[in-house]
Amino acid sequence: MSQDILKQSLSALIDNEADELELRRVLNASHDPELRASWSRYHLARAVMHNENYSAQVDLSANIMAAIDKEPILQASETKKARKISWLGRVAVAASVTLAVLGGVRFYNQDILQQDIMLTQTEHRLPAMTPAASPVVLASHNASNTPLPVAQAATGQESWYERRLPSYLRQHAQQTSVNKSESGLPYARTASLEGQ
Amino acid sequence: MRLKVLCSSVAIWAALTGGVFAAQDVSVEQWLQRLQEAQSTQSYQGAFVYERKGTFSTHEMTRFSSSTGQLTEHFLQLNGPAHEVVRTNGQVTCISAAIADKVNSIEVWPTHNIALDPLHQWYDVIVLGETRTAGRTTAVLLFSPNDQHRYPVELYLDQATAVPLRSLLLNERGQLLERFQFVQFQPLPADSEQKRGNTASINCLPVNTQQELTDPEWAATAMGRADLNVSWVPPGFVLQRSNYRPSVDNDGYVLSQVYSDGLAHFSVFYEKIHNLEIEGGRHQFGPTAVISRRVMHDRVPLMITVVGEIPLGSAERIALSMQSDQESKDD
Repeated sequence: MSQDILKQSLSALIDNEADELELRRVLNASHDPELRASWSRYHLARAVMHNENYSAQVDLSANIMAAIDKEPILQASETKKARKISWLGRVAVAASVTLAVLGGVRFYNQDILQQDIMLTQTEHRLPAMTPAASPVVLASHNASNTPLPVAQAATGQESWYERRLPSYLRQHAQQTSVNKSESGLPYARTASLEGQ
Repeated sequence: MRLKVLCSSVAIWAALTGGVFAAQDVSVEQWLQRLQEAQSTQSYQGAFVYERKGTFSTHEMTRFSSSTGQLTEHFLQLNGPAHEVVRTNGQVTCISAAIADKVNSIEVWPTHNIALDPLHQWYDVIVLGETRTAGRTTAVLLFSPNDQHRYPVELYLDQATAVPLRSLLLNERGQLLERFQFVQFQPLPADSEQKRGNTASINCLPVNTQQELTDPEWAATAMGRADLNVSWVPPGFVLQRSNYRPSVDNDGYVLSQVYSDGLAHFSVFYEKIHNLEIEGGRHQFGPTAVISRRVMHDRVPLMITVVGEIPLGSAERIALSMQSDQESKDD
Protein backbone atom coordinates (compact mmCIF):
# COMPACT_ATOMS: atom_id res chain seq x y z
CA MET A 1 0.00 0.00 0.00
CA SER A 2 2.63 2.48 1.08
CA GLN A 3 4.73 1.51 -1.95
CA ASP A 4 1.82 2.41 -4.19
CA ILE A 5 1.37 5.75 -2.51
CA LEU A 6 5.07 6.32 -2.84
CA LYS A 7 5.01 5.52 -6.54
CA GLN A 8 2.04 7.79 -7.06
CA SER A 9 3.96 10.57 -5.32
CA LEU A 10 6.97 9.83 -7.47
CA SER A 11 4.87 9.97 -10.60
CA ALA A 12 3.35 13.24 -9.48
CA LEU A 13 6.81 14.61 -8.80
CA ILE A 14 8.00 13.70 -12.28
CA ASP A 15 4.91 15.35 -13.78
CA ASN A 16 5.68 18.40 -11.68
CA GLU A 17 2.39 18.05 -9.83
CA ALA A 18 3.62 16.89 -6.44
CA ASP A 19 2.65 18.86 -3.37
CA GLU A 20 5.04 19.42 -0.50
CA LEU A 21 3.89 16.36 1.41
CA GLU A 22 4.52 14.12 -1.55
CA LEU A 23 7.89 15.66 -2.23
CA ARG A 24 8.89 15.03 1.38
CA ARG A 25 7.67 11.46 1.18
CA VAL A 26 9.80 10.82 -1.88
CA LEU A 27 12.83 12.50 -0.38
CA ASN A 28 12.50 10.42 2.77
CA ALA A 29 12.48 7.22 0.78
CA SER A 30 15.09 8.34 -1.72
CA HIS A 31 17.71 5.91 -0.44
CA ASP A 32 15.49 3.01 -1.48
CA PRO A 33 17.05 1.34 -4.56
CA GLU A 34 13.64 0.23 -5.78
CA LEU A 35 12.34 3.77 -5.75
CA ARG A 36 15.41 4.94 -7.62
CA ALA A 37 14.87 2.28 -10.23
CA SER A 38 11.24 3.42 -10.56
CA TRP A 39 12.41 7.01 -10.89
CA SER A 40 14.65 6.01 -13.74
CA ARG A 41 11.94 3.88 -15.41
CA TYR A 42 9.32 6.59 -15.14
CA HIS A 43 11.64 9.05 -16.75
CA LEU A 44 12.34 6.61 -19.55
CA ALA A 45 8.62 6.03 -20.06
CA ARG A 46 7.93 9.73 -20.02
CA ALA A 47 10.69 10.36 -22.54
CA VAL A 48 9.34 7.67 -24.84
CA MET A 49 5.77 8.99 -24.59
CA HIS A 50 6.84 12.55 -25.26
CA ASN A 51 9.20 11.40 -27.98
CA GLU A 52 12.15 12.97 -26.24
CA ASN A 53 15.78 11.94 -26.12
CA TYR A 54 16.70 10.21 -22.90
CA SER A 55 20.29 9.60 -21.94
CA ALA A 56 19.91 6.76 -19.52
CA GLN A 57 22.30 5.52 -16.88
CA VAL A 58 24.20 8.71 -16.48
CA ASP A 59 24.97 8.89 -12.80
CA LEU A 60 26.55 12.11 -11.76
CA SER A 61 25.50 12.22 -8.14
CA ALA A 62 28.41 10.29 -6.68
CA ASN A 63 30.93 12.40 -8.54
CA ILE A 64 29.14 15.58 -7.58
CA MET A 65 29.06 14.58 -3.93
CA ALA A 66 32.75 13.72 -4.04
CA ALA A 67 33.53 17.06 -5.67
CA ILE A 68 31.51 18.88 -3.02
CA ASP A 69 33.44 17.07 -0.32
CA LYS A 70 36.76 18.06 -1.85
CA GLU A 71 35.67 21.66 -2.05
CA PRO A 72 37.49 23.73 0.62
CA ILE A 73 35.34 25.22 3.32
CA LEU A 74 35.94 28.91 3.10
CA GLN A 75 35.27 30.76 6.27
CA ALA A 76 33.32 33.89 5.80
CA SER A 77 35.51 36.57 7.16
CA GLU A 78 34.34 39.87 8.42
CA THR A 79 36.48 42.84 9.03
CA LYS A 80 37.35 44.09 12.42
CA LYS A 81 35.65 47.42 12.11
CA ALA A 82 33.12 46.55 14.79
CA ARG A 83 35.67 47.46 17.43
CA LYS A 84 36.37 50.90 16.11
CA ILE A 85 33.51 52.64 17.78
CA SER A 86 33.89 56.36 17.65
CA TRP A 87 32.27 58.59 20.23
CA LEU A 88 29.46 59.25 17.81
CA GLY A 89 28.93 55.52 17.55
CA ARG A 90 28.76 55.27 21.31
CA VAL A 91 25.82 57.66 21.38
CA ALA A 92 24.12 55.50 18.82
CA VAL A 93 24.90 52.43 20.87
CA ALA A 94 23.42 54.00 23.99
CA ALA A 95 20.27 54.90 22.09
CA SER A 96 19.81 51.36 20.85
CA VAL A 97 20.40 49.62 24.16
CA THR A 98 16.74 48.73 24.54
CA LEU A 99 16.65 47.19 21.10
CA ALA A 100 19.82 45.30 21.83
CA VAL A 101 18.43 43.89 25.06
CA LEU A 102 15.25 42.74 23.37
CA GLY A 103 16.62 41.41 20.13
CA GLY A 104 20.33 41.11 20.76
CA VAL A 105 20.30 38.27 23.24
CA ARG A 106 18.52 36.02 20.83
CA PHE A 107 20.77 36.99 17.94
CA TYR A 108 23.90 36.58 20.04
CA ASN A 109 22.87 33.11 21.15
CA GLN A 110 22.17 32.14 17.57
CA ASP A 111 25.56 33.43 16.61
CA ILE A 112 27.33 31.28 19.17
CA LEU A 113 25.21 28.33 18.20
CA GLN A 114 26.17 28.74 14.57
CA GLN A 115 29.81 29.12 15.48
CA ASP A 116 29.71 25.93 17.50
CA ILE A 117 27.97 24.11 14.70
CA MET A 118 30.64 25.34 12.36
CA LEU A 119 33.37 24.06 14.63
CA THR A 120 31.80 20.65 15.03
CA GLN A 121 31.29 20.45 11.31
CA THR A 122 34.90 21.22 10.61
CA GLU A 123 36.06 18.62 13.11
CA HIS A 124 33.85 15.97 11.59
CA ARG A 125 34.35 16.94 8.00
CA LEU A 126 37.29 14.69 7.38
CA PRO A 127 37.04 12.92 4.04
CA ALA A 128 35.86 9.76 5.75
CA MET A 129 32.33 10.77 4.72
CA THR A 130 30.77 8.40 2.25
CA PRO A 131 28.89 10.28 -0.45
CA ALA A 132 26.44 7.41 -0.93
CA ALA A 133 25.27 7.69 2.65
CA SER A 134 23.72 11.05 1.95
CA PRO A 135 19.92 10.88 1.57
CA VAL A 136 19.75 13.54 -1.13
CA VAL A 137 21.00 11.55 -4.10
CA LEU A 138 17.75 11.23 -5.95
CA ALA A 139 19.24 10.85 -9.39
CA SER A 140 21.65 8.16 -8.36
CA HIS A 141 20.29 4.71 -9.08
CA ASN A 142 23.59 2.88 -9.38
CA ALA A 143 25.58 4.64 -6.71
CA SER A 144 26.44 1.36 -5.10
CA ASN A 145 28.36 0.32 -8.21
CA THR A 146 30.80 3.19 -8.03
CA PRO A 147 33.98 2.27 -6.21
CA LEU A 148 34.33 4.07 -2.92
CA PRO A 149 37.87 3.68 -1.58
CA VAL A 150 37.11 6.09 1.24
CA ALA A 151 36.07 3.54 3.82
CA GLN A 152 39.29 1.57 3.93
CA ALA A 153 41.37 4.73 3.68
CA ALA A 154 39.67 6.15 6.74
CA THR A 155 41.35 3.83 9.21
CA GLY A 156 44.83 4.47 7.81
CA GLN A 157 44.16 8.15 7.85
CA GLU A 158 42.93 8.27 11.40
CA SER A 159 45.94 6.46 12.76
CA TRP A 160 48.19 8.71 10.70
CA TYR A 161 46.52 11.75 12.22
CA GLU A 162 46.64 10.31 15.70
CA ARG A 163 50.39 10.07 15.41
CA ARG A 164 51.12 13.23 13.47
CA LEU A 165 48.75 15.91 14.69
CA PRO A 166 50.02 16.10 18.29
CA SER A 167 53.59 16.17 17.09
CA TYR A 168 52.87 18.92 14.55
CA LEU A 169 50.94 20.97 17.10
CA ARG A 170 53.67 20.56 19.67
CA GLN A 171 56.41 21.47 17.26
CA HIS A 172 54.48 24.51 16.10
CA ALA A 173 53.94 25.66 19.69
CA GLN A 174 57.61 25.13 20.48
CA GLN A 175 58.95 27.08 17.57
CA THR A 176 56.51 29.93 18.04
CA SER A 177 58.04 32.98 19.55
CA VAL A 178 56.02 35.93 20.68
CA ASN A 179 58.48 38.30 22.24
CA LYS A 180 60.89 38.22 25.13
CA SER A 181 58.52 39.44 27.78
CA GLU A 182 55.59 37.27 26.75
CA SER A 183 57.39 33.93 26.73
CA GLY A 184 54.76 32.41 29.02
CA LEU A 185 52.22 32.17 26.22
CA PRO A 186 54.00 29.73 23.87
CA TYR A 187 55.09 27.72 26.91
CA ALA A 188 51.48 27.47 28.10
CA ARG A 189 50.34 26.48 24.62
CA THR A 190 52.87 23.65 24.59
CA ALA A 191 52.00 22.51 28.10
CA SER A 192 48.28 22.52 27.26
CA LEU A 193 48.91 19.98 24.49
CA GLU A 194 50.51 17.47 26.84
CA GLY A 195 47.27 16.46 28.50
CA GLN A 196 45.77 15.27 25.23
CA MET B 1 24.17 82.24 32.85
CA ARG B 2 22.89 79.05 31.36
CA LEU B 3 24.49 79.82 28.04
CA LYS B 4 27.77 80.52 29.74
CA VAL B 5 27.75 77.16 31.49
CA LEU B 6 26.91 75.44 28.24
CA CYS B 7 29.65 77.23 26.36
CA SER B 8 32.29 76.53 28.96
CA SER B 9 31.36 72.88 29.22
CA VAL B 10 31.55 72.54 25.44
CA ALA B 11 34.93 74.24 25.51
CA ILE B 12 36.20 71.94 28.24
CA TRP B 13 34.85 68.92 26.43
CA ALA B 14 36.49 69.99 23.17
CA ALA B 15 39.80 70.60 24.91
CA LEU B 16 39.70 67.21 26.63
CA THR B 17 38.73 65.11 23.61
CA GLY B 18 41.07 67.04 21.34
CA GLY B 19 43.87 66.29 23.75
CA VAL B 20 42.92 62.63 23.84
CA PHE B 21 42.91 62.32 20.06
CA ALA B 22 46.26 64.06 19.80
CA ALA B 23 47.75 61.94 22.56
CA GLN B 24 46.52 58.66 21.09
CA ASP B 25 49.35 58.12 18.59
CA VAL B 26 52.03 59.25 20.96
CA SER B 27 50.75 56.96 23.66
CA VAL B 28 50.66 53.91 21.33
CA GLU B 29 54.27 54.52 20.35
CA GLN B 30 55.23 55.02 23.97
CA TRP B 31 53.61 51.78 25.02
CA LEU B 32 55.22 49.78 22.24
CA GLN B 33 58.57 51.34 23.10
CA ARG B 34 58.15 50.46 26.76
CA LEU B 35 57.06 46.93 25.84
CA GLN B 36 60.28 46.48 23.90
CA GLU B 37 62.43 47.78 26.72
CA ALA B 38 60.72 45.65 29.36
CA GLN B 39 61.47 42.55 27.30
CA SER B 40 65.07 42.27 28.38
CA THR B 41 65.33 44.07 31.70
CA GLN B 42 62.35 43.31 33.93
CA SER B 43 62.45 40.60 36.61
CA TYR B 44 59.20 39.33 38.05
CA GLN B 45 57.37 36.47 39.66
CA GLY B 46 53.73 35.53 39.15
CA ALA B 47 51.01 33.01 38.41
CA PHE B 48 48.93 32.91 35.26
CA VAL B 49 46.05 30.99 33.70
CA TYR B 50 45.86 29.72 30.15
CA GLU B 51 42.52 29.01 28.54
CA ARG B 52 41.36 27.90 25.13
CA LYS B 53 38.45 25.77 23.99
CA GLY B 54 38.62 22.56 25.99
CA THR B 55 41.64 23.52 28.07
CA PHE B 56 42.20 25.49 31.23
CA SER B 57 45.52 25.36 33.08
CA THR B 58 47.32 27.30 35.76
CA HIS B 59 51.04 28.04 35.88
CA GLU B 60 53.66 29.68 38.03
CA MET B 61 56.43 31.69 36.49
CA THR B 62 59.60 33.35 37.73
CA ARG B 63 61.85 35.45 35.62
CA PHE B 64 65.23 36.92 36.58
CA SER B 65 67.20 39.41 34.63
CA SER B 66 70.65 39.76 36.15
CA SER B 67 72.80 42.87 35.96
CA THR B 68 75.15 40.99 33.64
CA GLY B 69 72.34 40.57 31.14
CA GLN B 70 71.60 36.90 31.84
CA LEU B 71 67.91 36.03 31.64
CA THR B 72 66.54 32.99 33.50
CA GLU B 73 62.91 31.89 33.31
CA HIS B 74 61.28 29.14 35.33
CA PHE B 75 57.84 27.74 34.51
CA LEU B 76 55.85 25.25 36.58
CA GLN B 77 52.38 23.94 35.81
CA LEU B 78 50.26 24.03 38.96
CA ASN B 79 47.42 21.72 37.96
CA GLY B 80 47.70 18.19 36.61
CA PRO B 81 51.20 16.98 35.76
CA ALA B 82 53.95 19.22 37.19
CA HIS B 83 55.48 20.25 33.88
CA GLU B 84 58.57 22.25 34.62
CA VAL B 85 60.87 24.17 32.30
CA VAL B 86 63.89 26.36 32.96
CA ARG B 87 65.20 28.54 30.22
CA THR B 88 68.38 30.57 30.28
CA ASN B 89 69.02 33.24 27.68
CA GLY B 90 66.39 31.75 25.44
CA GLN B 91 67.78 28.20 25.60
CA VAL B 92 65.98 25.46 27.51
CA THR B 93 68.44 24.19 30.11
CA CYS B 94 66.25 21.89 32.14
CA ILE B 95 62.89 20.24 31.63
CA SER B 96 60.70 17.86 33.64
CA ALA B 97 60.86 14.19 32.69
CA ALA B 98 57.19 14.14 31.73
CA ILE B 99 57.71 16.26 28.64
CA ALA B 100 61.45 15.75 28.09
CA ASP B 101 60.97 13.25 25.29
CA LYS B 102 58.32 15.37 23.64
CA VAL B 103 60.48 18.45 23.33
CA ASN B 104 62.94 17.39 20.71
CA SER B 105 64.74 20.57 20.01
CA ILE B 106 66.87 22.85 22.08
CA GLU B 107 65.47 25.88 20.33
CA VAL B 108 62.13 25.88 22.08
CA TRP B 109 60.17 29.11 22.14
CA PRO B 110 62.84 31.20 20.47
CA THR B 111 62.76 34.82 21.53
CA HIS B 112 62.92 37.86 19.34
CA ASN B 113 62.31 41.53 19.78
CA ILE B 114 59.03 42.93 18.57
CA ALA B 115 59.56 44.54 15.18
CA LEU B 116 57.37 47.60 15.10
CA ASP B 117 57.38 48.45 11.39
CA PRO B 118 55.69 45.29 10.09
CA LEU B 119 53.27 45.44 13.02
CA HIS B 120 52.11 48.90 12.02
CA GLN B 121 51.75 47.80 8.44
CA TRP B 122 49.38 44.90 9.15
CA TYR B 123 47.70 45.97 12.39
CA ASP B 124 46.10 49.16 13.66
CA VAL B 125 47.35 49.58 17.21
CA ILE B 126 44.90 51.39 19.46
CA VAL B 127 45.00 52.15 23.17
CA LEU B 128 41.54 51.15 24.35
CA GLY B 129 41.86 52.41 27.90
CA GLU B 130 42.79 51.22 31.35
CA THR B 131 41.69 48.33 33.52
CA ARG B 132 43.00 46.11 36.29
CA THR B 133 44.66 42.73 35.89
CA ALA B 134 46.22 40.73 38.73
CA GLY B 135 45.51 43.64 41.04
CA ARG B 136 47.53 46.09 38.95
CA THR B 137 46.59 48.91 36.63
CA THR B 138 47.03 47.91 32.99
CA ALA B 139 46.74 49.73 29.69
CA VAL B 140 44.77 47.87 27.00
CA LEU B 141 46.33 47.76 23.54
CA LEU B 142 44.27 46.40 20.67
CA PHE B 143 46.13 45.06 17.64
CA SER B 144 43.40 45.22 15.05
CA PRO B 145 44.31 43.49 11.75
CA ASN B 146 43.99 45.27 8.42
CA ASP B 147 42.91 42.17 6.53
CA GLN B 148 41.12 38.88 7.18
CA HIS B 149 44.27 36.75 7.35
CA ARG B 150 45.07 37.34 11.02
CA TYR B 151 43.25 37.56 14.32
CA PRO B 152 42.90 40.61 16.57
CA VAL B 153 44.95 40.57 19.77
CA GLU B 154 44.30 42.48 22.98
CA LEU B 155 47.40 43.05 25.08
CA TYR B 156 47.12 44.35 28.64
CA LEU B 157 50.37 45.99 29.72
CA ASP B 158 51.26 46.65 33.33
CA GLN B 159 51.28 50.42 33.90
CA ALA B 160 54.41 50.30 36.06
CA THR B 161 56.59 47.73 34.24
CA ALA B 162 55.02 47.39 30.72
CA VAL B 163 55.03 43.60 31.11
CA PRO B 164 52.02 42.01 29.33
CA LEU B 165 49.73 40.72 32.09
CA ARG B 166 46.92 39.59 29.85
CA SER B 167 46.84 38.55 26.22
CA LEU B 168 43.56 37.74 24.48
CA LEU B 169 43.28 36.29 21.01
CA LEU B 170 39.92 37.02 19.37
CA ASN B 171 38.36 35.87 16.15
CA GLU B 172 36.93 38.18 13.50
CA ARG B 173 33.63 38.30 15.37
CA GLY B 174 35.31 39.37 18.59
CA GLN B 175 34.80 35.99 20.27
CA LEU B 176 37.53 34.83 22.61
CA LEU B 177 39.78 32.10 21.21
CA GLU B 178 42.55 32.08 23.76
CA ARG B 179 43.32 33.70 27.10
CA PHE B 180 46.67 34.13 28.80
CA GLN B 181 46.26 36.07 32.02
CA PHE B 182 48.25 36.67 35.16
CA VAL B 183 46.27 36.30 38.37
CA GLN B 184 49.18 37.37 40.57
CA PHE B 185 52.16 39.45 39.57
CA GLN B 186 55.12 40.76 41.55
CA PRO B 187 57.97 42.75 39.96
CA LEU B 188 61.38 41.85 41.41
CA PRO B 189 64.54 43.91 41.75
CA ALA B 190 67.20 43.07 39.18
CA ASP B 191 69.68 41.41 41.55
CA SER B 192 67.19 39.08 43.28
CA GLU B 193 68.47 35.93 41.59
CA GLN B 194 71.49 35.58 43.84
CA LYS B 195 69.35 35.83 46.95
CA ARG B 196 66.84 33.23 45.92
CA GLY B 197 69.17 30.73 44.27
CA ASN B 198 68.10 28.15 41.75
CA THR B 199 64.37 27.46 41.91
CA ALA B 200 64.27 24.34 39.75
CA SER B 201 63.20 21.11 41.47
CA ILE B 202 65.03 17.78 41.18
CA ASN B 203 62.45 16.59 38.66
CA CYS B 204 63.74 19.11 36.19
CA LEU B 205 66.30 17.23 34.11
CA PRO B 206 69.10 18.85 32.13
CA VAL B 207 68.37 18.89 28.42
CA ASN B 208 70.48 16.79 26.09
CA THR B 209 72.16 18.67 23.34
CA GLN B 210 70.73 19.24 19.90
CA GLN B 211 68.67 16.55 18.29
CA GLU B 212 67.86 18.80 15.43
CA LEU B 213 69.64 17.90 12.22
CA THR B 214 72.73 19.92 11.65
CA ASP B 215 73.15 18.73 8.08
CA PRO B 216 70.09 19.97 6.22
CA GLU B 217 71.49 19.01 2.82
CA TRP B 218 71.49 15.35 3.65
CA ALA B 219 67.95 15.49 4.98
CA ALA B 220 66.88 17.48 1.95
CA THR B 221 68.24 14.75 -0.29
CA ALA B 222 66.39 12.19 1.77
CA MET B 223 63.20 14.19 1.28
CA GLY B 224 63.70 14.05 -2.46
CA ARG B 225 63.82 17.73 -3.14
CA ALA B 226 65.22 20.75 -1.38
CA ASP B 227 63.05 23.48 -2.87
CA LEU B 228 59.85 22.71 -0.99
CA ASN B 229 57.75 25.76 -0.32
CA VAL B 230 54.27 27.14 -0.56
CA SER B 231 53.67 29.69 -3.28
CA TRP B 232 51.26 31.88 -1.34
CA VAL B 233 51.31 33.19 2.21
CA PRO B 234 49.12 35.99 3.57
CA PRO B 235 50.73 39.40 2.98
CA GLY B 236 53.15 40.39 5.72
CA PHE B 237 54.11 36.86 6.76
CA VAL B 238 57.82 36.18 6.25
CA LEU B 239 59.83 32.99 6.66
CA GLN B 240 61.53 33.02 10.04
CA ARG B 241 63.34 29.71 10.05
CA SER B 242 63.17 26.31 8.50
CA ASN B 243 64.61 23.02 9.72
CA TYR B 244 64.56 19.26 9.22
CA ARG B 245 63.77 16.81 11.98
CA PRO B 246 63.48 13.03 12.08
CA SER B 247 59.91 11.87 11.59
CA VAL B 248 57.85 10.51 14.49
CA ASP B 249 57.39 6.95 13.33
CA ASN B 250 59.30 6.30 10.14
CA ASP B 251 62.86 6.81 9.04
CA GLY B 252 62.02 9.89 7.02
CA TYR B 253 62.28 13.54 7.83
CA VAL B 254 59.92 16.39 8.44
CA LEU B 255 60.71 19.79 7.03
CA SER B 256 59.14 22.60 8.98
CA GLN B 257 59.01 26.27 8.07
CA VAL B 258 57.85 29.00 10.43
CA TYR B 259 56.28 32.20 9.13
CA SER B 260 55.36 35.27 11.16
CA ASP B 261 53.98 38.75 10.64
CA GLY B 262 55.48 39.94 13.92
CA LEU B 263 52.51 38.88 16.04
CA ALA B 264 50.83 35.80 14.53
CA HIS B 265 52.64 32.62 13.48
CA PHE B 266 52.05 29.59 11.38
CA SER B 267 54.17 26.56 10.58
CA VAL B 268 54.20 24.52 7.38
CA PHE B 269 55.25 20.87 7.67
CA TYR B 270 56.26 18.68 4.74
CA GLU B 271 56.50 14.96 5.20
CA LYS B 272 56.92 12.09 2.78
CA ILE B 273 54.12 9.55 3.03
CA HIS B 274 54.69 5.98 1.98
CA ASN B 275 51.89 3.89 0.47
CA LEU B 276 49.25 5.61 2.53
CA GLU B 277 45.87 6.49 1.09
CA ILE B 278 45.62 9.78 2.92
CA GLU B 279 43.87 12.74 1.41
CA GLY B 280 44.09 15.37 4.12
CA GLY B 281 41.87 16.99 6.69
CA ARG B 282 41.05 20.09 8.64
CA HIS B 283 40.88 20.67 12.37
CA GLN B 284 40.44 23.57 14.71
CA PHE B 285 41.97 23.37 18.19
CA GLY B 286 40.91 26.55 19.96
CA PRO B 287 42.87 29.27 18.18
CA THR B 288 45.00 26.86 16.15
CA ALA B 289 43.90 25.87 12.66
CA VAL B 290 45.32 22.68 11.14
CA ILE B 291 45.00 21.91 7.42
CA SER B 292 46.54 18.83 5.84
CA ARG B 293 46.69 18.14 2.14
CA ARG B 294 48.32 15.48 0.05
CA VAL B 295 50.40 16.68 -2.88
CA MET B 296 52.55 14.94 -5.45
CA HIS B 297 55.84 16.77 -5.69
CA ASP B 298 58.16 15.41 -8.36
CA ARG B 299 56.46 12.02 -8.15
CA VAL B 300 56.98 11.95 -4.38
CA PRO B 301 53.76 11.84 -2.34
CA LEU B 302 54.00 14.47 0.36
CA MET B 303 51.68 15.53 3.13
CA ILE B 304 51.71 19.26 3.61
CA THR B 305 50.27 20.48 6.91
CA VAL B 306 49.67 24.10 7.86
CA VAL B 307 49.39 24.75 11.62
CA GLY B 308 48.86 28.20 13.03
CA GLU B 309 46.91 30.79 14.97
CA ILE B 310 45.38 32.18 11.81
CA PRO B 311 41.86 31.87 10.35
CA LEU B 312 41.04 28.47 8.90
CA GLY B 313 40.34 29.92 5.45
CA SER B 314 43.78 31.51 5.24
CA ALA B 315 45.47 28.29 6.37
CA GLU B 316 43.53 26.42 3.71
CA ARG B 317 44.61 28.84 1.03
CA ILE B 318 48.27 28.45 2.05
CA ALA B 319 47.99 24.67 1.85
CA LEU B 320 46.27 24.86 -1.53
CA SER B 321 48.94 27.13 -2.95
CA MET B 322 51.45 24.30 -3.14
CA GLN B 323 51.04 22.97 -6.64
CA SER B 324 50.48 19.25 -7.00
CA ASP B 325 51.55 17.41 -10.11
CA GLN B 326 49.09 14.67 -9.23
CA GLU B 327 46.77 15.29 -12.16
CA SER B 328 49.35 14.81 -14.88
CA LYS B 329 51.11 11.90 -13.19
CA ASP B 330 48.00 9.91 -12.40
CA ASP B 331 46.48 10.00 -15.85
